Amino acid sequence: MKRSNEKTLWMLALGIAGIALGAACGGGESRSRKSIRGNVENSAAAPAPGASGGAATTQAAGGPKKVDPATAGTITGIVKWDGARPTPEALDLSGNPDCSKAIKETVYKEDLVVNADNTVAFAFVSIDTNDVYETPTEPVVIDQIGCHYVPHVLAAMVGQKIKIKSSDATLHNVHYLGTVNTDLEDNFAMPAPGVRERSFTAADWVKFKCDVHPWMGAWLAVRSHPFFAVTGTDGKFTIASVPAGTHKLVMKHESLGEQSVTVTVEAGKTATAEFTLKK
Amino acid sequence: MADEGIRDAGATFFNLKAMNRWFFASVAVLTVAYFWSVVQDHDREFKSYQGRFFEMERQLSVQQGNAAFNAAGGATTIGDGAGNPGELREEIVRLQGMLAADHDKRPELALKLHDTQFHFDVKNAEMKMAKAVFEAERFIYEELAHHLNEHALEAPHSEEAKVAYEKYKDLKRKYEELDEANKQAEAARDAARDELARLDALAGDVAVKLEVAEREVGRLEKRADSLDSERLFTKFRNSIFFSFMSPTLAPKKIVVPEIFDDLNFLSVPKVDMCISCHLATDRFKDYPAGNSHVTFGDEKNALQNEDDSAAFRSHSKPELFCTSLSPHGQERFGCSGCHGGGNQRANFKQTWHTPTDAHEREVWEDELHWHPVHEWEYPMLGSKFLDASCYKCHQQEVHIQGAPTWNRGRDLVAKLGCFGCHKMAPFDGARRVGPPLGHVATKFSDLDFMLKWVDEPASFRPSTRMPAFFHRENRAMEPGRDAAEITALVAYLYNLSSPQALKSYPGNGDAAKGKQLFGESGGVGCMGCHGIDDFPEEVNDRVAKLDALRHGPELSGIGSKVTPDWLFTWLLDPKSLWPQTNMPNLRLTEQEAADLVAYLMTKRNVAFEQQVFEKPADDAPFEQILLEKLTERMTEARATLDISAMSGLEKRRKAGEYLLNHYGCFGCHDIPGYEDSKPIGAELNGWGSKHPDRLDFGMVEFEWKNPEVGKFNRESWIDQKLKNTRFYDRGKDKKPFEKLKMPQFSQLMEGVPDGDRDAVMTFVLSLVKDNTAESIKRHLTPDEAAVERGAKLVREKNCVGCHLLYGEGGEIRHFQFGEAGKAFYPPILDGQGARTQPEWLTHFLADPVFGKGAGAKAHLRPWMKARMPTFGFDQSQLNDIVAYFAHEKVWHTSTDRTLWDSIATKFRKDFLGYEEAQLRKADHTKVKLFHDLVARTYEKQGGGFVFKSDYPYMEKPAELAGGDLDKARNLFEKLQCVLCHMPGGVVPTGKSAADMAPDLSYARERLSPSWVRHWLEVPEVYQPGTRMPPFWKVEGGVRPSVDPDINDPEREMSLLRDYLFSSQFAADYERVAKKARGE
Repeated sequence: MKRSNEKTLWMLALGIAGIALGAACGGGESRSRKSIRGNVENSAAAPAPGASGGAATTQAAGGPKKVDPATAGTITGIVKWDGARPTPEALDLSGNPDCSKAIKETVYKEDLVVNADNTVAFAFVSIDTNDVYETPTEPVVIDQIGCHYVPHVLAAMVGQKIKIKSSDATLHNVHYLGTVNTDLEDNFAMPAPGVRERSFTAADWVKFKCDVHPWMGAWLAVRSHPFFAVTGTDGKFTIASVPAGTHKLVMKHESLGEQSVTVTVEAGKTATAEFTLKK
Repeated sequence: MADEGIRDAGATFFNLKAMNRWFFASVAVLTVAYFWSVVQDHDREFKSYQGRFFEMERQLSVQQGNAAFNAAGGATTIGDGAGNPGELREEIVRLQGMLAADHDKRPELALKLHDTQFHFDVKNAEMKMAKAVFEAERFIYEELAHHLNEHALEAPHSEEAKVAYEKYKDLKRKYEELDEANKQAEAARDAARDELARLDALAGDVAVKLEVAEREVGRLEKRADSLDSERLFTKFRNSIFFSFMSPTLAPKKIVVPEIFDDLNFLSVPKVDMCISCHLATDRFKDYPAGNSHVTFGDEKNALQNEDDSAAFRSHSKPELFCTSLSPHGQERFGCSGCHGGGNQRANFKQTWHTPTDAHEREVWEDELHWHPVHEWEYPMLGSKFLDASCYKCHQQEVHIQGAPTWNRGRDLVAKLGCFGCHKMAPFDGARRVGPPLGHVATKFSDLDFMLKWVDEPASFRPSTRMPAFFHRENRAMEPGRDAAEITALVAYLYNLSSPQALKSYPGNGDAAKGKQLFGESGGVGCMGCHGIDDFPEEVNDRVAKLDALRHGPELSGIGSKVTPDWLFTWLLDPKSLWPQTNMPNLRLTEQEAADLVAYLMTKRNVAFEQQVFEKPADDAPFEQILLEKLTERMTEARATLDISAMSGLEKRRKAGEYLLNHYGCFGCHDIPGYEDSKPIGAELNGWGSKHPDRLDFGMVEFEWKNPEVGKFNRESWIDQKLKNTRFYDRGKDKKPFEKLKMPQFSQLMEGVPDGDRDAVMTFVLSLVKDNTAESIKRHLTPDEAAVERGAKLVREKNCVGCHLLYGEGGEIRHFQFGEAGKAFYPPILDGQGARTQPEWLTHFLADPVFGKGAGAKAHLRPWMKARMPTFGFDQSQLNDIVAYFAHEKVWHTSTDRTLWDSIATKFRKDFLGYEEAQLRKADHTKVKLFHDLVARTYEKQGGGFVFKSDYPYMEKPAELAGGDLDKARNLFEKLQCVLCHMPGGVVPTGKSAADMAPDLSYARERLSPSWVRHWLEVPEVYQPGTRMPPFWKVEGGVRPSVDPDINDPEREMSLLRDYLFSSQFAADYERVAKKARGE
């Protein structure tokens, strides 16, 4: 209150002075005008603040890392099966002549594949890190042959090209859904043999399915780094060029969940790890 | 003694000196008062707000000016207005100088143009002449050749022809030479013209570029100048004594001719002065939105200013309010029409601002010296009740888009049945919410059930919407009274009860099968509306929130309530027992109904069964009730005599009759003889304008009027009333029949979260005295009215229990767990009107199985477990639902998708929070609001909808024929549609029914051709998560073709669509399917 009264008095005095000055005052440097044109500080600071902020973040991230072979070691290991080997379940494709024609041998369900030597195939093993590494230029390929995804589990890096092939002369649709990023979904038709390309922007565990052939399923692991492997018919995995240090090694299986162990990698040496799965 | 003489001559009766002193003093006082009043008048609160705001504006203009200046290239390009002229200006000077210096250049070019033009004209004329001659000769030669039977025109045989041919050839060559010369001349002319034009344009282009750049910078410079309070001229304009002329700091007004203030029997248009201080209401792009709890300086705000006064925020929801882009521009709707408050003032206190919560209240009290007032009838509405104001103009709508609190309040009032006792306009003519009580004796397993139920409904079913009448605090002093009243009421109702013919339950039900039917993967559909403890819902917010609004009762204890016969009859045909019920007929077979009965009879509430209801030991309490009632109109002696003449049973029944009238049970239940009884509660129309003096605050009136408490207002009153309906009886001595009798709704009582209570309050507060002109209210067109009636039905019949509708509902999905369960999801109904043909939809809704009767499922998706029920709609209801879907103005029904999408994109850019991903998670009314607002602009820009007209609403595509038919046939086979769309419900080996897609034989009758065309293009937009793959999905910016023979994606989609609707399709379909199965 007090302040505004003072102001009022000041205004009163000024107003009277204003009559005299008002007429005289035609030109004069304008405060606002000056601060727009030729104000070096402002003109330097003004252009899109968002842009400079963005640049800073990229710099802070320091760009993708490169694998340095000099300080790297290798992790190898095996995924074993504990218990009786489950009988592989054959798929009956007889109602779908276009599928059975394309592939002569019997096709089995692949959601749990235990090899003859009691090891597990299609287990995904990777080290647990969010570090971002350079994306390789060569693409990974998943094919649809005889109404069957090959391979059943594949892995790729963020941003890496993934070629989705169809070798079948029948209709497939590729319908994939992210399980980590649940907003991730795509669905497209491949009515004839051909190739589509996709790449993923974030780490994920993506389910591939074909709605035309409901038995078809595949999994795609997406990681920001190249330190992963998928077990094959011997249940073994090898991850090369792992930076020296202690890592959490994670094994993921589509129907039996996750396990992890801690592995210490020394430069130029090979560390080993073992996982055991059971029903 | 001249002096004395004079003194004598002018002798007065008063003391001149004293008078002079008095005169001087009064003049001094008046002068001071004058100056004081001027100073007082000059010192106004709003000026401080305006001064601060204009400084922010100035800084904003400077900032924007800088941005424009830099965007135009800064001082190096357009100059700094002082020493440096800038590159553009220098370029203009240079070009102008060059043109001026090289005097010959332009004339030379002009001459060249003239010459080349002349040359071209000559050549052109020559060429045309030669062409005419040559063409004449060609005709002559052709005639001759024909006459001489020459077959090869270029190698004639006869001499005569040879001569003519030579002549013709010669002329042809000449023409060709001249034609070539003509073309060259034309090219030379064009080159000369372009060169001259380029030279002329050079200086002009630069000048235009400079002007454009200068215009924006200059505009902002001027604006910044005009806002500069430091300018001497501005100071003068605002100075005391001179501010009457043209001050920059001045009160601002909005005159609202269509909304009125009630000034002592006089209705005058509102004049809102709020914008004198709230200066940024429509400036959502520059100032952050929301009320004072929003943190200033979020990323949306261009200006990072210290001054965070709430007055300088833009209005929240700018897509709806204040801005010129919104439907409620502030120049037409003003402020106080919605917000309330003292509008014709421009200071904080006298405008009766209302704080949102205790925290805000404290801040206001400390910083702004705010205190509550109770003199003013319409203080501002607290922001959580603001939705209430929408109803003033949106009276014809069921749900008001963008008013979620009001919508929820309306839904709650509809479900809880408040209108049974309290008349309120939105529910005039609504059916009673409770079940009929005319046949209680046949319905309930025993008499005790009803006694215990009325005694404490929640002890049988905690989620029940039946409110509690008994065990209330104002009856604690009369032990045994509750038991007597309940006994009397039930005795009376059992006396009124007449027997009802029931089918007898055959006793052969299989409870395990019944359980499957009820709830396995959503079951036949029961779980869309009812809950049961065997199938707990996923615990998540969405379902928890729906509790009070769950459509049907929770059935965990049903076995303790009804008889098997009653349940059997009810399941087979609910309407036979309650004609107005919302429970639809699921077309159960007798065996299915028996299985369900067997299952449901195992669902008992044992604790409730074990409760014992203590009936009064003698007739004394009933006599007391009768005496109280009878002495209202007769002497005690007479009453006692009457009572003594009654038998014990008669006493109970008579007392029950009085009590039934007292409590108004017929407000919610159909009771024989009470069909036309009037509601017993206070009418709530206009309640939102009721002065607090006319509300009974009981003994807390004086306490609440104290400014320290400040609760003497409508909101506090109703809040307390809903929390504890008998609160205002505290400290009062009343007879039993005089006491407050409103029952307690557990959903709204003290202790439950505020949300639902606030919603109900918002709804009741919205029922105000009308103060708006008809011209400003929303009047629905006949189409829109049909949409509203249909929307109401969709809600009443709970279509959203199973179907998703713009993100609302789909409750049954919670019980269809996992990825595999998705196949059993009932279809999404967004834009249903665009998908199906109205005629088909009418027949489908009337009888989803087209006469196949009990046990049948809708044919289209044979794998579904949940059945589309038979609702038994009458013709007008069918029309309303079909019209509702047909006339919805949404993306799906728009005809010009490009226009719609461009408007939607712009809308999303202008207003935050409407991105696809955000909408998917948002409240359904927000989705509808988005559609409504886009549709508004879309229609203004000439966009149309599929169903502009009335019945039959749509045209059919033309029949395919010839080559087109073959191409379409090939395409249909090539795309192998039949792999999923098998006709006749056939399921190939290796697949299950749930893997299949709808039978396409029905497409011709059922689907809308335009929908099919769009569906083929973007199925995932219509049904997110659909298994239908988009065949023509854009890859790398190109829409691919799937058939090289056609090689045109647009045409392929159209052909396929037309084929589905062609009369040939049916015959081909079976053949193609057989082939695909290898048969």
